[in-house]
Amino acid sequence: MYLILGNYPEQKRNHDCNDCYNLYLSAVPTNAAMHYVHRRLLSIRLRLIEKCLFETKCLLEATANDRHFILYSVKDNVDSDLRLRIFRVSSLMIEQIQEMKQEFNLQSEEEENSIKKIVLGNLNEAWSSLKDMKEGKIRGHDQLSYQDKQLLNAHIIKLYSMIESIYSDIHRF
Amino acid sequence: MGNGVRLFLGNDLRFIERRLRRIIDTLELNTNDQFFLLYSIKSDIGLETKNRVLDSTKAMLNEIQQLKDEFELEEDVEGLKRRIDVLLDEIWTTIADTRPEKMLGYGKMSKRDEDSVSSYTLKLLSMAEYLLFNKPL
Repeated sequence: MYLILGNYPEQKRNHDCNDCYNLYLSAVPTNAAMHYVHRRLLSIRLRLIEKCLFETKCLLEATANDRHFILYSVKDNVDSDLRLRIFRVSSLMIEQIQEMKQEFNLQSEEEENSIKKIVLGNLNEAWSSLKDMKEGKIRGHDQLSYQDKQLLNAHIIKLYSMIESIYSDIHRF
Repeated sequence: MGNGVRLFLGNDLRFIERRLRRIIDTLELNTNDQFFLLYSIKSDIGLETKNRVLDSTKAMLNEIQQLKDEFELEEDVEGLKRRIDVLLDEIWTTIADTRPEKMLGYGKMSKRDEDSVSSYTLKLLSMAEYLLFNKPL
């Protein structure tokens, strides 16, 4: 018998005996006995919702006024009433997720997210785009004059070498 | 430079600028480990590396600024509301997919679990719809 009460769902990953699972279900009185597949699905989806709620909160907090960058700007067109509603309801949603976490014994993400991973994820996307640009893969590139191509290439090569140096810095330490 | 190429070049560089700004935000805002309900973010970049990456990222932004000036690239304007709506849409879709009837492909839940998950997801859905479509809570 493979059953270990209190730790069944983890064992279930490597063991697929319904008799054991049913016995476990009858022995455990709460929803902590939910099948690990459903628990994992719930964790994955609620985690995604939690991340979106956090991103929403960060966006609202960071954009209390219009923000101007180099090639884009973000116009604050969320009125104060809607802003407050979003904050209030987001908190209620987080409370619901907390309750679900407790009721279904949901676990935090198994593989820890890290600043380095987030930075590298964004760096990879920028690098991929720069690599294409360095190889002349810009739509309409063939319509550029010789001078424009030279000027543009000089900047792109510089940007490319800068991004490579960021990779080196991150991997060196 | 023709308007078409200018537009495409602007789009490509804007894409890069957004990623660089996310890197800056991530490094400047996350100085310690952060713990949320179902995930955590480990602060695993040392101060020296962080400062070097920030300097290089800002230097890249300066280069993009020069490209903008030299090729007279245009600035794009976007509304915060649209960005929030995209996130709320994602939340709504994910909650809708979390209803027990949408998880049947992964096996049937016990009646007890099904009722409980249904009750939670309906509440969450009504909250998301309140924000997205102004439906009463």
